[in-house]
Amino acid sequence: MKHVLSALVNNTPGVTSRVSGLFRRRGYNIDSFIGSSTEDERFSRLTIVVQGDDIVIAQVLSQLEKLEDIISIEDIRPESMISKVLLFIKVKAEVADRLSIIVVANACNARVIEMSKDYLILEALDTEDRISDMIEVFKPYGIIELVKTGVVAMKR
Amino acid sequence: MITGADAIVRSLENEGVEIIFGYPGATVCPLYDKLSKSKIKHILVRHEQHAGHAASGYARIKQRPGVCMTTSGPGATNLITALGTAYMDSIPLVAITGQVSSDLLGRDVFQEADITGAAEPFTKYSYLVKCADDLPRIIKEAFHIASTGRPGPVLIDIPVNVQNQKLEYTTPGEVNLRGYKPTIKGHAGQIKRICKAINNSEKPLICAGGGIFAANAQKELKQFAEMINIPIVSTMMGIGAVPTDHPLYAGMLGMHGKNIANQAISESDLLILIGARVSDRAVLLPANVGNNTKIIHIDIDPAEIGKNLSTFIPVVGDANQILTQVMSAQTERKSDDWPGLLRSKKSKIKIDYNPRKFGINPKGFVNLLSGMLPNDHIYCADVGQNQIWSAANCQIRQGRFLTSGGMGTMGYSIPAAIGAKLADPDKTVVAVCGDGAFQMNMMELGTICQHNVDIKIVVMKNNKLGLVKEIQRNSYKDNEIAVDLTGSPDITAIAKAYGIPARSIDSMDVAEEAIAEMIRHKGTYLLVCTVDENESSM
Repeated sequence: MKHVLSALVNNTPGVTSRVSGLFRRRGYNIDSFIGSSTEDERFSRLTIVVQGDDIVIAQVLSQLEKLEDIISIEDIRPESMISKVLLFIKVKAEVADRLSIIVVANACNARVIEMSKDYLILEALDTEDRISDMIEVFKPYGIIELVKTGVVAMKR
Repeated sequence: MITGADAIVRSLENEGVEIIFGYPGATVCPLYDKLSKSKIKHILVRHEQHAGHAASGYARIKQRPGVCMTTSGPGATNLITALGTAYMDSIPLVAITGQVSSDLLGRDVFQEADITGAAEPFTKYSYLVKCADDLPRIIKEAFHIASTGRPGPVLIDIPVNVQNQKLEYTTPGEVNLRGYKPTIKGHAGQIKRICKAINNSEKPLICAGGGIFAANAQKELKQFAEMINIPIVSTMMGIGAVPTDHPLYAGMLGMHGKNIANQAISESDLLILIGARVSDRAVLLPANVGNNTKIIHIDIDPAEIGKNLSTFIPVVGDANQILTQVMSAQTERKSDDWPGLLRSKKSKIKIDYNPRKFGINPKGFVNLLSGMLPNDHIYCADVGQNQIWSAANCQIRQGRFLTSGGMGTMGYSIPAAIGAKLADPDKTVVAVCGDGAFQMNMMELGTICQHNVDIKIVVMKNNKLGLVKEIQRNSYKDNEIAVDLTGSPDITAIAKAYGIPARSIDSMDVAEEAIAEMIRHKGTYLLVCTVDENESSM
């Protein structure tokens, strides 16, 4: 099952490696890992998405809590959080396809942020599921490149 | 269908592995079970660290990755020092560790250690195998990564259940790793710049490092230096890159090097670094490099270039390849008095090889020893004063000088000598260590006897940890602490307990005769040399 973990950690070198190391020890692959500064410069916020057995995740969580650098950590339940993913996608856009791509983009709340004669770059900010659906929608046109952030989440 | 353990053995055979240095345990039992049916020879060492060092000595002589294998937990963690030693000296190793069953990972079960995590800073790459199907590909990749580009140790951690899983073995195709394409050939434009810089230089100087051996470029280096008449200095890892008695060779540079080599560095106007890191020990202060010295840095690892010295012409590529490229380009410089000047300065230097009232003269001894050994002998120096005596005074004509240059790992010499001898049984291999280091690896006398390895061992005995004592004398007002080795055994008696003939000498008068006896003896022989505790390393 998918888990979204939100951790407040000390803003010092090596924290990300200590946190990710605990998942590696279990042989778990991290789906996404975001770290950023917070309103308090002493701390950073990590948002980690990982697939795994509930019991094991709970155990990793308690091991993470033991780390000196972790101030607090929580496994946020989907119903009690808001979460978003940012997507940039470079789609092949021959003259004939352009209009249809823009229409589709509008329909799924994506914005054209750059145009060239061969491609369009779109930007979208949405939930992880909707971003995944969106990628499927653009596949038939030909995706040249895509990049997305991991999940950022906040408890309601 | 075959088991994972079968697949590992088959993959190792496909890589041409002939010898594995190892120490078994519960989590590598499936692998050992299958290994017993293979032609691959297993050398049981007496401590896991030495499996790694022996594989390192083997790799350096055989010019291909050395393989070592240990069990999970303490077996794996004991290997870390050897991995670090190999990593610092860019020696290709493939280390296989057993791991607890993958479903138990992270539960702190018996003999579990997060070895891929713990060894992370000391490996070029590491794998934790989760599925037996991946084994053939991973092993092939590991050998590729260990031996190409800048060589280094690669760790493969294999849970015991993966060794027992069934798979359909398919021979993996060519290794093609996205993002891993070491540059081999030097950039043509840079080669032109090198030639121009050489032609315009008055006092060019080559500094050869361990990269010369990694690239197997000894012959090319010699040709290149002779062709344009450039003197050569070396780092400790580069000793033997050209014969130490070569007229263009000025000696080892650095903190413990020859003054003449350091002087050459500060006087030269063009320094050509080849496969050398020039770490703090090699160049004490960047100020030692003359202000007007331009630096050409040739290295296969782009991250090394400019790391310790700012570079005028960086060239990324294989030393052998680049030297060949430079030689085939036009360089016009020929004779001048610069090499002659260094040579005459060098000839005037008198090294103190005089006999002592008490004990042998270690500098004179290693010089004599290496002089008497066959031209192509392999000299393994340990760490401490003995390393400095050896590096500065031994004669490497056609052979090799093996030591732990980067990490400075005590206890390297004997296991490395075992590996080197097994890699090339026709060569005479000598391990020179102090009585401190000897007591870190003397259990390997058992390995030597069990597998009939014929190496010569010289122990410089002063009952002190001499190099630390020297630091305490020079920098801590002679406050000698924790360097006294009182309580050490009679080393010749230890050797004899293993059935190894041994002798102890305490005067230069008998040195020549004792060395001759050691060389004449067929089989391992141990010679203890009493050294005065106040001998200095320089």
